[in-house]
Amino acid sequence: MTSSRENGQPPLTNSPLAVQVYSLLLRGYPSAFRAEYGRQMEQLFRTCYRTEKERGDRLRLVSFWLRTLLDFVSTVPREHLENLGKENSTMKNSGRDAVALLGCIGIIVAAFLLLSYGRKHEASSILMFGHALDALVVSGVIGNLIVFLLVKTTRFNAVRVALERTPPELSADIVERGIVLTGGGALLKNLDKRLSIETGLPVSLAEDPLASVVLGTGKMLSDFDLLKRVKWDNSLTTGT
Amino acid sequence: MKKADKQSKHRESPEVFLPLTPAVFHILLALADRERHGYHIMQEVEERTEGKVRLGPGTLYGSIKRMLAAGWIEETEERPDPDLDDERRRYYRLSDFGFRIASAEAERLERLVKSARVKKLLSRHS
Repeated sequence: MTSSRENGQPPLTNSPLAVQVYSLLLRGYPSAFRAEYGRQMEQLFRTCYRTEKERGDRLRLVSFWLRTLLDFVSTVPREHLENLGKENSTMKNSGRDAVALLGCIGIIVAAFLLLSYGRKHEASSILMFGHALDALVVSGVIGNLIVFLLVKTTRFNAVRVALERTPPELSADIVERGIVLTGGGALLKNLDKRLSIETGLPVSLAEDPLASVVLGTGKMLSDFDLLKRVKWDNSLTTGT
Repeated sequence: MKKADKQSKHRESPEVFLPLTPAVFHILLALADRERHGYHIMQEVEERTEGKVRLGPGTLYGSIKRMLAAGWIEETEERPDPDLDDERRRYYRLSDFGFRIASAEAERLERLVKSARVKKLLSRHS
């Protein structure tokens, strides 16, 4: 931890809680926007938070949070609307989002119409049906939100935990140069973009993901001196 | 088609885009004298307005995104002081068209202030 700070890198694991909360909030923005500006926004927030905190006043911090939340709430819908309008978004989720949104609105309108019709004609079965539709929508939205958050945080955590376990010199290197994906899993479409968004690190694909492990092993075996050195290094680090 | 439209608009008058939103105009103002990065823009706006206008990250980068797309500002390649800050920061500067838009907005505001003065709304100066 300390060495990563000395390197001038922002500490990955022990950033203040407020920054972590804000980076969670950032997930509310469309993924394309986040990929482009997420890191800068987080950095901006971090700097602002630090200066506000140094001034010490608790009231200041509260008003800072309120301002930030207001900013968040007022800008997220706009970004989503603009994202919907774009045809070639990188993640191509916008079409699906639009369908889901329209479906939701349709069900809500249907429930509302049924409810008002049921009230007018005092038909309790229709009223019941309307209420059921309402409940369906609410539980659907909440359930989806929970699943969405769970999926996002767990996947995000897996990479983060792995990064946490790597020694600081190595993780500093990763932060600088990014992650290279190898193996068949790397061929999953847009996995690199997704991981890059979730970790905030540059992620790239290996040249030939399927063969890269074999090729790398071959290369290492053919260079006997290097192999010896790696082995020596290894015993040094694990032996301590 | 749409792009051509935008292009011709660029060569025409910047008045089409007026009035600007306060956030956009403040960002243009902040970039008028020099290129800056995001936090720098925020600081400049806050200092200039004596803390009355504070841009949040969403407002700031949302506006920057749209202004970049419209060609009012551009990202610079070289950094003014490479020793001082880390390389992940992006710097922005005003494009020629952005400059024209900002001055058109300033002129529009000036005309408004003039009328206000005529109507004695600004008592100090009348």
